Amino acid sequence: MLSSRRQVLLTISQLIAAGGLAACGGAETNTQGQDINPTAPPEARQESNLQLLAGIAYDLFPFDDLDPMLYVTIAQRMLDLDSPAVTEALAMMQENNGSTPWLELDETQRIELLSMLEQGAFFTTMRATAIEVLFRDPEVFALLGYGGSAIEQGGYINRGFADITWLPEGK
Amino acid sequence: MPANFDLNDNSVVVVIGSGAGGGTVGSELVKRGIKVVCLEAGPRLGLNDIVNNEPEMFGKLSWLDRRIGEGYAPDGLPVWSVKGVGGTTTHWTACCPRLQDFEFKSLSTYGELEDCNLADWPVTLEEMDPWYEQAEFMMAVTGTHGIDRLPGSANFKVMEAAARSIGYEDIDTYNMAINSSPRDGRPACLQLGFCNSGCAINAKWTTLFNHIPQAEQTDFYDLRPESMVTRIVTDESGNATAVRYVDRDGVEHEQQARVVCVAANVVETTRLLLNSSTPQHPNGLANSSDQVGRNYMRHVMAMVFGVMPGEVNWHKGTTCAGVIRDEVKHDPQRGFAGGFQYHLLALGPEYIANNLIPGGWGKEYANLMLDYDKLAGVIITGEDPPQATNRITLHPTEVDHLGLPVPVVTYNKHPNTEAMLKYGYQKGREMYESLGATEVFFHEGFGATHNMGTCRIGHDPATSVCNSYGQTHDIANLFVSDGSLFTTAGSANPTLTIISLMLRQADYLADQLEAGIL
Repeated sequence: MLSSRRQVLLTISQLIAAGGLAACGGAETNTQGQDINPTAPPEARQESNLQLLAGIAYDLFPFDDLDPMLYVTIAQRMLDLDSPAVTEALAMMQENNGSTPWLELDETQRIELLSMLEQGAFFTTMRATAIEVLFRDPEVFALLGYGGSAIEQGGYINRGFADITWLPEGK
Repeated sequence: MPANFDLNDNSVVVVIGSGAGGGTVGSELVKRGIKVVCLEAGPRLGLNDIVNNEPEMFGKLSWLDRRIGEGYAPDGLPVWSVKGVGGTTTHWTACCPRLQDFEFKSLSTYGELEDCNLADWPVTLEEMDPWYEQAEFMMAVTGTHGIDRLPGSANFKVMEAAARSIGYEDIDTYNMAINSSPRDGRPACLQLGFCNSGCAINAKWTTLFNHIPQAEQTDFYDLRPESMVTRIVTDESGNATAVRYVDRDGVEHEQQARVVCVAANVVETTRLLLNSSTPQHPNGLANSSDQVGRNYMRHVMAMVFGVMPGEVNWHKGTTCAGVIRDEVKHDPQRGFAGGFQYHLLALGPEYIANNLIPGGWGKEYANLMLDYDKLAGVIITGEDPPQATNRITLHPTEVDHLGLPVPVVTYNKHPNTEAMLKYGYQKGREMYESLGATEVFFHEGFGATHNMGTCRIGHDPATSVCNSYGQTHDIANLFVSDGSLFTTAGSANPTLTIISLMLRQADYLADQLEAGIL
């Protein structure tokens, strides 16, 4: 049986291959700086960068019950930032993993590598972007038990604002 | 009918800012038939602009012009204030405690603290009582004037049970300027949450939807939104004569004035006074004491979150309707001077994800986020002592889009503050652990919402900026009309005291104008 992470990553690749790129018009022109693999066609490079970033986004906030497209959205936002820090980090990751592609590294290795990047601009931006995308999303709200906008339902005055089941008797 | 006064009309009082301070002093003057021009830097939102969406409202409401934070004040957003009509009354949580008697007399009560400018206020609680009464009635504060308190949310019930189990007793849903039943044309609270994002139904009192529209029903109130004041103009005799501002199209205007009230919230009030220097006032206006911008206080502010054994759903309900008052006292046995309160708190998922563990990520952190619905929370609000080195200054070189020096907010924690935090955290942990919390988190160091003290009131012009009415010692027709006036911070959320001070100021100012003294 595939691990849930592996399943999410597979779905991510499929999503990207199936048209994630089409939805990212103009993204190609945003990738500047060093060529990751000068011989690869631009679409392939773009695809591989998206996969990598989506994989990292998942490593930061792994929610298995979530539409994996959200991680692709985070990846796309990162590319759209057109930031030298992102370009540099991508180049480093694509090059530095030797024979094992980043997405194939085992969890300990990935977490270790990410921890080494923690203080840098790439990681900070990655975390901030991931939080912004994930924690404003209605699907994540549902996962957390957060109600989002309450005005449409007339607030919680008649919808359990004071409900609590576990408080000990007499407290 | 809203008025439209001529720029050359030098009989108007110009109020800079439309929040708790400016919105109150302006609308009170209007009641006495005094002409008021209110210049507000930000836009005017309608009730339809207010939605239940924290990040969207943060963008719509916040003052996001460049401010530099130094020391403990976070850079980028050292202060979380509002740029818009209504000022911070749109995003305030509407907690309305009074200052305590001893908090007006901190120096007499605590004695000298090292490196601090503790001082007694030039007014006492007894003198302020009638103004507090009037302010509470005007805002329909729950738990006063026979107005029912709000019902307690699940988050409140957890806080109350936790507090009682460690021996606290003075606990209720607080004194809130949020309607528990319809009153003054405002509906009752629907327990929406999102109090910090602006109340979408106007159950929470604001100057935006209350004082200001009322003032506009007279012929005396001229509100000009998106008007950023750049300078207070003074003449050879040293008096304020006009106010210069830039409108939404970038066009500069000069409004003549009989009196100027500065109510721009601590950072901008200081910045404007310092930016208005002349050869006669080389250190900025009203600053012969060198106290303008000093003694900046932001309260000891820290959050305690418990991950409880079951669902709390803290997002359901009024954000801050709950208080524990047992620590609002001066008891040096605890290892610090002054007191603090705990009040109820809930925050949205994005803020929690960013801050529950700063920089947190990974599997464990994601799992922790899945416990969002089990979080319970309180915020510590305590007295921080005034220090000369905690201050607002102008950056020597960096300027904003209007060419004005950018403000620098410098704040560092006094040892008294550290001791109070340690104690407050410990008790907070005990509270939630008494109910079986699996984890307890602390969070501090965020942008200040309570800003006080940079133009303190006092009897002595050598050590204070304003007299007890907020009239500057140096310039008779220049008033400060916001939280900058606080001599010391106390532990009470400042808005009620600001409004009470402004009712008193408006009364004094109107008397002076009617008597022809100003």
